Amino acid sequence: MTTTSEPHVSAGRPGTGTGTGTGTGTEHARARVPAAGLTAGALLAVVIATWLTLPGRVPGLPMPGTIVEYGLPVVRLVLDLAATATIGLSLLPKLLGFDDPDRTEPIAARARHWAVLFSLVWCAAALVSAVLSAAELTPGAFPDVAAYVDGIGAGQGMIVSASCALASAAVGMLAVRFGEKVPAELRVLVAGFGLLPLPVTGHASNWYWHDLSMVSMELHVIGACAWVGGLVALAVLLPRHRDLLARTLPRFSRLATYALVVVGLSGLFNGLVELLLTPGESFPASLVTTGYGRLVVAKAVFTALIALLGGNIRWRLLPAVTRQAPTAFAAWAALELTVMGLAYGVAVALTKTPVA
Amino acid sequence: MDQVARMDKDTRPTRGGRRRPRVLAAPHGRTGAITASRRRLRVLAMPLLALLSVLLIATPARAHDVLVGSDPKDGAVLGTMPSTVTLTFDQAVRRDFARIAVTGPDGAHYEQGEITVDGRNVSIGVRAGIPAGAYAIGYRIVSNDGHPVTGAVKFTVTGGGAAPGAVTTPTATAATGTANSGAGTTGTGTTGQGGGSWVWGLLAVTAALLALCTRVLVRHDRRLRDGTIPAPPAAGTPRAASEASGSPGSGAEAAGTSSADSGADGPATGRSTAAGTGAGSSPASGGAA
Repeated sequence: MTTTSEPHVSAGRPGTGTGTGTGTGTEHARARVPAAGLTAGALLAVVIATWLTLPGRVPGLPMPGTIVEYGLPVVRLVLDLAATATIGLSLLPKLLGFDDPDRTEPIAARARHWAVLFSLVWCAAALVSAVLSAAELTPGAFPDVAAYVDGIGAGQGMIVSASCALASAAVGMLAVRFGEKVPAELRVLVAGFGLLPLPVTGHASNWYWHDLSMVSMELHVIGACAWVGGLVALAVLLPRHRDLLARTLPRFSRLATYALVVVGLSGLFNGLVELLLTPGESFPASLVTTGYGRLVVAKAVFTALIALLGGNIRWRLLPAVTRQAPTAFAAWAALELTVMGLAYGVAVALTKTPVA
Repeated sequence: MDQVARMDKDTRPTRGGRRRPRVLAAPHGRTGAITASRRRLRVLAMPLLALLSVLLIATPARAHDVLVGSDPKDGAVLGTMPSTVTLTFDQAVRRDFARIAVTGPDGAHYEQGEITVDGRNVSIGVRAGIPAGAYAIGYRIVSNDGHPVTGAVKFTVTGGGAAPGAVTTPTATAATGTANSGAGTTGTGTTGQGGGSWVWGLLAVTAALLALCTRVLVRHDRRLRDGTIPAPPAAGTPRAASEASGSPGSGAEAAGTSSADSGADGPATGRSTAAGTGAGSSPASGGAA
């Protein structure tokens, strides 16, 4: 993945040096810190959360191997992160605005390259995830992917998501060649369709609350992708261009505020409904006694932390950023993205963990 | 491709590679604010549109199944082994992928026959002639949301030997009942929502779409190199062209040289038009340069 993208990046760099950046090696390395923080945080959280909630051995039945038990959450995490990056990069032109193509175009061009790449990663992760999910259901036997996809909604969801990722890559390639003439709205829409099947692969709580909690989960996923994806695109591509950041960050800040409300409320709703309606567990206690409840609490804590960090950027850094003064935006964004990564990792474990 | 052609038509009068260049003041200005809110509306419209399609996609309830009861109960002490063991879940159970094993004190398997699914109940027969001791029912079913649900129910049998009259279930055949871990399934439980194979078609279509896009771009860039269509004045175009053809998914490149396809004319025409309008019309090469 890195090897494929490297030429684009190195080729794109000199063109992007029109801003304030000096283009030294350290600067390049620093630009990757936010993405690295997001990935590292997410990996750490998903491995720990998976380890904590690993189902016990079942007497008399073969259990899935370690590759499936840990591989499935990690691949699912790759899928989520790649989808998030695709959405964020597709959204970036909307945040940059179209008033000043001469300045925004180099950034937007890099975003388009990366969007194609992440779409393909997304597709690959979805397909691998379908295979591993099939293997999880029939441990000890060869995974029957065809039967899994044919019979189980989650499998269909994965393949639909992979298809949307391919379509997103196709549109993205057109955008790489023809630039912003391929509307950003179209790219966001195609990629966004790929998010819709993902909640189907989690667990919707209950027969009665099903429709409401499905809608709530869709909102949750879309909001999280726009929020995290937008921030990672900004934090990786823009810190060295203070003029562009000054125009873009206020727009993103509004988006992030909406996203915080939507993601927080829908997440709370889903988690609590799941806990409340699961038979055999009494509610307030199940927040701490069950693995699911503990993960919900962890995610709520992370969300609160993200809100604090976001508030810090919004109230303390934004005025300076709009004045184009030097700020520690990249560092704060990297910190916020690391916490977001932790929340993503927990989210992956949460989709797999039963309450009881 | 059609779309590309149309888009290019729309953009004929553009400069700088943007569809409708807005001559606007800074975003803080009044006009900027109005346009920004309109843009925000459009950004908001997308999730709404997505939600509409959710209601179309949203399938019947899929929820996580939970074990709510069993016969024998967890921790029960029984005088004799029943002829079947039954697990009860909170919702109807899918019968595909369901597995139950009854493990005895000696570690051997004592289940026999096929798994029977009846609504929320899943049961399996138990062999006759079992020793006294601790038993465990291990199960793995596929929850309605597609997740595996696993667990174990433990109980103790005090009476040694076969339960009097513990006749095996009528359908049981001793041959299939022996120590295979988890038997086949039968019964009237929730059938798997089969017929989900259409998604492979969707995958194939989008893969074809991607291949088509790659091919169009490769052909287009080749023509650009060959000089069939005038190259845009922007510098570094050859590099952009080679980069596009070397971009991910270039497997479709192999298909590039076969027949002339009229679809490729769409972007080609659009491109030359864009080239005619002059400066800054090559956003992709702008990124590569």
